[in-house]
Amino acid sequence: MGYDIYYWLQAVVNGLMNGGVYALIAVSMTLVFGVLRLVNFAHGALVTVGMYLSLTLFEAPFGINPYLALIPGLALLFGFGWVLYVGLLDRIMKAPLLMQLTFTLGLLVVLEASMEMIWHNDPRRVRIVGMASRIEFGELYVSQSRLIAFVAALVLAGLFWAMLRYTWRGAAISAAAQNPDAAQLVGIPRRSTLAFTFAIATAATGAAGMLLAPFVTMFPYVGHSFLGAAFAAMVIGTEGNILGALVGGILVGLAEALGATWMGDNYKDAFVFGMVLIMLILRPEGLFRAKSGV
Amino acid sequence: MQKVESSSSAPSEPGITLPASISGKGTPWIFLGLIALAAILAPTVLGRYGMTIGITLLYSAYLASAWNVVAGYAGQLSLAHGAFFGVGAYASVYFYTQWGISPWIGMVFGALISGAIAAGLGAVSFRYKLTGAYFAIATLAFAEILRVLINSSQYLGQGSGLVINLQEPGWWIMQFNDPKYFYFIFLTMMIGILFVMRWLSRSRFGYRLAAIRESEIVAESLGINPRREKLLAFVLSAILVAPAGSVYSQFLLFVDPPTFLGLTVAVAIILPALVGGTGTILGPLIGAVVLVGVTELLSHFALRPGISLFAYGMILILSVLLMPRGIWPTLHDAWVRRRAKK
Amino acid sequence: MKFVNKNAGKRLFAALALVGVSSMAMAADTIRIASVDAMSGPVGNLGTDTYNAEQIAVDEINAAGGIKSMGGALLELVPYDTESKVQTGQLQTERAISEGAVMILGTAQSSVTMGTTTVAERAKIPHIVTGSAADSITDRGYKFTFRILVTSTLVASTYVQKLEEIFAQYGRKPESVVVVFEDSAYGQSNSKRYTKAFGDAGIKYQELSFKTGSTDLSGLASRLRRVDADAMIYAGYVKDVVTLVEALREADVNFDYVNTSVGTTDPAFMKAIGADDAEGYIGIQYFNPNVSAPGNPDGPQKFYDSYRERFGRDPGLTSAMGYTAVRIAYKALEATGSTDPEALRAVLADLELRPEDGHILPYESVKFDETGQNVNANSPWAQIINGRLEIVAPAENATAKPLLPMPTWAEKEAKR
Repeated sequence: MGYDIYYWLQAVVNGLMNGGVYALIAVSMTLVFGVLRLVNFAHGALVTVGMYLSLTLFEAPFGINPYLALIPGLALLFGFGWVLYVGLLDRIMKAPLLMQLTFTLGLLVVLEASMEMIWHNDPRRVRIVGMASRIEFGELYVSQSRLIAFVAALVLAGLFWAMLRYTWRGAAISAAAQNPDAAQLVGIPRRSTLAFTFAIATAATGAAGMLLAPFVTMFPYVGHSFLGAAFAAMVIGTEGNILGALVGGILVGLAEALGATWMGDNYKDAFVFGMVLIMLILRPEGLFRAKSGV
Repeated sequence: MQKVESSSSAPSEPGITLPASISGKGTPWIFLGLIALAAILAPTVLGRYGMTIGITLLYSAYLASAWNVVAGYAGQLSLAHGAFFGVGAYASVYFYTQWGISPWIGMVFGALISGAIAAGLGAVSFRYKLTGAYFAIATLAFAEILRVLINSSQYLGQGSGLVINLQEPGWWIMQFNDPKYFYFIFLTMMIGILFVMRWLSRSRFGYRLAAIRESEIVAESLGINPRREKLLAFVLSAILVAPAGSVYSQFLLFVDPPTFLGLTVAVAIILPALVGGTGTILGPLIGAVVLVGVTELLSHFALRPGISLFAYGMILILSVLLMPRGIWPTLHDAWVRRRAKK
Repeated sequence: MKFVNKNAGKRLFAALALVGVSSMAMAADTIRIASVDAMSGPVGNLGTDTYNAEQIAVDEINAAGGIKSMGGALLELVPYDTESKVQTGQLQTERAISEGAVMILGTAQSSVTMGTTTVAERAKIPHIVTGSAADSITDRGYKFTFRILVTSTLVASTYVQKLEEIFAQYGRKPESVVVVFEDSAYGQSNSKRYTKAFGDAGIKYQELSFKTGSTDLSGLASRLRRVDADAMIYAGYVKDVVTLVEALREADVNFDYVNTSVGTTDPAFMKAIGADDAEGYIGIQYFNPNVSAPGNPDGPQKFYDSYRERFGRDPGLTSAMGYTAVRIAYKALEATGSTDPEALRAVLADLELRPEDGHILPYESVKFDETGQNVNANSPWAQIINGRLEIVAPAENATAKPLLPMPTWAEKEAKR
C-alpha cells in the first residue's frame, strides 16, 4: 500500500467534491438562519425530499434523467418551500428559540415519517446507465456524477449569491433580514419576502439532494448525515453570509476527507465537530464578517 | 391569590425567553403529593408492563427536569446532556464489570465525572462568551466528539459497548427481576429532583439564574457573576443527569453508544421539557406524561411503518402552535384566569 | 385544583384501562406467541420480513390441526414493533408478556435483542432469537435465550477453510486480505473474529473501518484502491454494502474476491445495484431454496414459493429464521402439552429441529447448546453468478463453481 502524495491528493479531491455539495446545503441553511433567524432542524429532511423527488421523476412513468429533472424539480421544490413557509413556519417566526427548535424537530420527524410511509426503508438508488463512471487524470480520479454535482452546486450557490447581491429581490431580502418590520414600513412585504427566501432555500437544499441522488444510497433518514456538515459550514462561514457558507462547505469537506484518511472513516464526525468547536472558541462569529446577506 | 406574569417574547431575539412561572408558586404541591402517593401505590395495580411504562415515564421526566436546571432556569440551551447520561452509564458499568464496584457507588463516580466534564466544557464555553444557539452548537459538537471517541475505544467496548451479566437479584448490585424495583428507584429520583427544583426556585441561586436568563447584562450590573452562576448550573445539571444513566444501564444490563450517547439521545432528553414548559417545575413531568403516553397509545394502533412517528411529529408541531409556552404554563395560566374570574 | 385534577385523572384511567383491556384480549383456545421485531425505522424491512415468514409457518401449523397435545389449540402470532429501538423493544417485550405471549421471537438487531432477551430472562419466558448475530447475546449465561442464527464466531471459525477451498479450485492460496467493517457492534465484532481467524491461519490482514450509515464512502474506496490484497472481506449491513459497492465502482477498485457478508445475499442488494454489476460478489446465506438437509428436500423451495406467492417478493435475510423459530416453538409446545415456561425452557434446551419437523435451513438440524446457541448453525457462501445466487462453499453444498477472480469494473462496463 503506497501512501504517497497522490494518496493525500486523492483525499483532497474527494473532499472537494463533497465540499461542493455541503456548500450548497450550507448556503441555503445560512440563508434561512440569517434572514429568517430560524434554526431549522428539518433542513436535513429537505435534502432527502430532493433525493426522493429525483427518484420519483426517474422511475416510470416519468423516466426523466436526474439532471434534466432539476428543471421541474427546482420549481416543485420552490413551491413546496413556499407552502411550508406560508402554511406552517410563518406562525413561529416570532417564537423563542426553544419553541422554534421543537417545531422544526417536529417538522423533521413528520417529513421523514411521510417518506418512510411512502417508500419504506429499503435502500434505493438512482442508477444512470450508460454514463462513464469516472474521469481519470493521471494518478487521480473523480467520479463523473460527483464532479457534476460539485460544479452544479457551486454554480447554484453562486447564482444565489449574485441574486442576493445584485437584484432588487435580493436587496429586499437583505433588508428584511436586518429588520423585517422596518422593511415592511418601507414597502417590502414581509411575509412574501420571507416566504420567497425560504422557498429558494428549499429549492437549493432539494437541488443538492437531486444532485446527490445519482451516487448516494437513499433511505428516509439519509438527510441526517448532511446536517452536521452543513451546520459546521454555516458556523465557520458566519451565519447569514452566503460566500462564507460556500467556503465553509468546502473547508468542511476537505477537513472531513483528510481527517478520515489520516485516522479512519469512523473519526470523520470528530473532525468536523472539532473544527466547529475550535471555530467557536477562537472566532465564534465565523471567518467572515458578521453581516446578514453577503 | 396567585399572580402569574406572562413575559412577552421579544421577536427575532436569538436568545431564550421563557415564561415567568418559575417561582414555583404556581405549583400545586398538595395535588402533587397525592399523585406521588398514587405513584407509590401503582405497582400493586399495574403489572410488569405497566411498570415498564412507568419507568420510561419517570426517567424521561427526571432527565428533562435535570436538563431544565441549566436550560429553563439558567437559560442555556445544552445539547450535551446525552453525553452526561452516557458518561454516567459507562462509568458505573465499567467500574462494576472491571472492579466489581457496586453500581450505587459507581453512580456517584459517574456523577462526579460528568460534573467534571461539564465544568471543563462550561468553563471554556462561558469564558468565550458562547450563548444561545452558539452554546447549543458547541455542546452538540462536544457531545458528538465524545461519542466518536467512546465508540472507537477498545476499553469501552467500541460499538458493542459493555455488558453486565444477569445475576441473582440483589440491592447491592442493583439487579432485580421485577421492573417495579427500578420503578421505585426512578420514582425516588423523580421526587427528589422535584424538591431540588423547589429549592432552586426559592433560593437566591435560583433568583440569580433567573436574572441571568432574562438579561445577562442587567444581571451583571446587579453584581451577579454570570459566568460563575451559569457554570454552577451547568455542572449541577450534569451531576443530576448522570445517575439516571447509571440506573438505566442496570435496567438494560448493558451500555452502548447508540442507546446512550449522541444527538438522538440528547433530543429525546430535552423534548419533554420543551413540550411541557421549560423553566417550570412541573413542565418536564407533564411533557413526559404526554409524550410517553402518546407514544404508548400509538404503538397500540400503528398499522404501517412511519405512522406512529408521523403522529409523534405532529404532536410536537401542534404543541408549539397551540401551547407555545409549553403545556404546563398554558394550562396553569388558563386555570388561574378561571379562578380570577370568580 | 379541580381543572388539572380532572385531566390527570382521566389520563391515568385511560392508561390503566388500556393496559387492563389488552391483557384480557386473548381467546381461550389459542396459544399466543409474539413476534417482537423492527417493523419500522431504519431496519424496518428486516423485522417485517421475519414476521411475514413466521406467519407462513403459523398458518401451516394451524391448517394441519394446531397443537394436538393441547386439544388442537391454534397458534396465534402477534406482532410487536420495536421501531428499531432498544427502549421500544423492551417495552414491547414486556407488553407481549403481559398480553399472554408464551414465547418471544425476534429481533433482527443485536443491540435491541440484548434488551429484549434481558426482559424475557427476568420474566422467565423463553425467547428465540431469530436475526441477531452478536456473540454477546448468548454469552451472558441466560437460560431462556435460544438463538438459531449463526454467530460471528461460528462464521469466522469456518471462514478460512471456505476461503482456502475456493482459492484451491484455481490452484491458488489466499495470502492477504483486507477487512472492511462498519463501526457498530455488528461490524466490529465480526471483524475481530475474522482477523483472529486470519491471523491464526497465517494470512496477512489489514483493517479499515467506516461509519455505518455513511452516505459517502469515496474516501474509503480511494484507500482501498491502494490496497494490494487477494481478498476483500466486508462485515456490516446491507444499506452500507450498497453504498460501498457503488463507491468501489466509482473508484474502480477491484479485488479477485469480495465477500460482503450478508449484504450480498439480501435481495435488496441485487435490486439496488443491478444484476450485471452485482456479478461476482460473494455473501453469506442464511437460507437458500436449493439447499436442504437430507430428510426435507423440498422444504426450502416450498417455503420460498409460499413466501413469494403470498408477499410478492423474495424472502428477506432473516425470513427463514422466523419460519424456523415458529416450527421450534410448535415442537416445544407439542412436547410439553402446556404453556408452563419452565417446562418449555427445559424442552427447548434439549430440542432438535430436524428436517422432518420443517427444518429448512442449510444444515442438518437445529440444536441448542448449554448457552442457548444453535451449534449446528452454518452458513453457506453464495456468489452472484449470471444474476443468480449460487452456493460456492462449502463444496458439498455447492451448486456452481466459484468465479475467481470476479469480473472487474472495466469488464462489467464493457458488457453494458
